[in-house]
Amino acid sequence: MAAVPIVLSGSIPDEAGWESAVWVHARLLYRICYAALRNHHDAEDAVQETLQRAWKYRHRLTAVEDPAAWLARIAWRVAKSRRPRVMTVPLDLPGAAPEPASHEPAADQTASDHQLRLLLDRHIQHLPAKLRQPLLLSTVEELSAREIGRILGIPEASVRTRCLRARRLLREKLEAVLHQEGR
Amino acid sequence: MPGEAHDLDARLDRALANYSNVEPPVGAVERWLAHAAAAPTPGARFLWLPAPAWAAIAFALLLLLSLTWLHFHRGDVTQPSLAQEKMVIRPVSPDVQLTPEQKQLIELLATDPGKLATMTPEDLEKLLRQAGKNSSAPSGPKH
Repeated sequence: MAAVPIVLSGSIPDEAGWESAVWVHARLLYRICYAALRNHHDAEDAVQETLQRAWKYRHRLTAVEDPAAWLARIAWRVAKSRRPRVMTVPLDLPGAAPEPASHEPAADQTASDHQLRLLLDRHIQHLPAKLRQPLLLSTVEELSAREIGRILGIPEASVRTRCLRARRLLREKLEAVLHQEGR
Repeated sequence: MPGEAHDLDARLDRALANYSNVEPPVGAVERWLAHAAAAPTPGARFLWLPAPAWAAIAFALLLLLSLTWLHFHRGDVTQPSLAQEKMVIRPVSPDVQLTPEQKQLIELLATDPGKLATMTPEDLEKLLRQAGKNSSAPSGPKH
C-alpha cells in the first residue's frame, strides 16, 4: 500500500480553485468509487454525485485539514450507498482480458492472473463488511492506512489488522479453489 | 509447497495492487465539473428510506391521530339518555302503590324536566295536589 500524500494547496474559495481541486483528486475519487462498485458506469455516476455534494459544501474545504480525505470520505459514502447489497460478479475489470491465442511466454501467466482477479473479485464480495471495506480501500494506491482509517472512522492499527485478516482469508479461499482446479 | 505458496502470495499481491488501478474515462472530469455546479444536489435522502420505515412512520402517525381524535371526542360517546330508554317506573317497594298522577309526575321529572317550566302554575299546582292527595290515600300495604 503506497502512501502518496495528496495535499491541496490553499483553500477553494472560487471556481478556479474548485476546478483545480477536482482535477487533482478526480482519479482518487474514481478509484475509490470503482473499488466499491466494480463497474465503470456506476463509478462515474458515484463520482458525479460526490462532486455535486462537495460543490454544495465547498466552503467547508477552507476549514478542512485534509481536503483529499474529506472528498474521499464523501466518495466512499456515496459509493457505499449505491452499492447493491448482493454484488454479482463484476461485468468489467480493469484492463482487457488476455488473448488466449497468444504465444508469448508471459501469456499463460497473464491469463492465470486474470482468472485469479475474477476469483478474487468473487471472494472479496463475500468477505464480512468489516474486513472488506478496509481491504477495498487499501487497493487504492493513493490511500494510506491512516487515510483509510479516517474514511472509515477506525484507528490506523485496526485498518492494518483487518487488511491482514482479509488477505489471509482470501489467500485460504483462493488456495482451496486453485487446489481443487489443479486436481 | 513453499514455492507454490510464495507464488500465490505474489499473485495475490499483484492482483490486489491492480484491483482498483483504473483511470477516469477521457472527458469524465470535464463532465463532472460541468454537472457538479449545474445539477441540484441530491437532497432529501430521507425519501429513499426503505419502505418498512415509511410504513412504520405512517402507522405511528395514524395511531397518533386516532388517539388524539379519541381524546377530544370521548365526550361525544354519551350514554343513552333516560328519555331514550324505555322508562318503567316501579315503586321502591312492591307494597307501595303509585297513583297514575304520581307516576306521571315522576315520568315528567325524569324525561322532560323542561316541561315543568312551560307548565302554568295552576297546572303544576293541580298536578302536585292530585299526586299528594292520592299518595295520602290508603295505598299502602293491605293486611
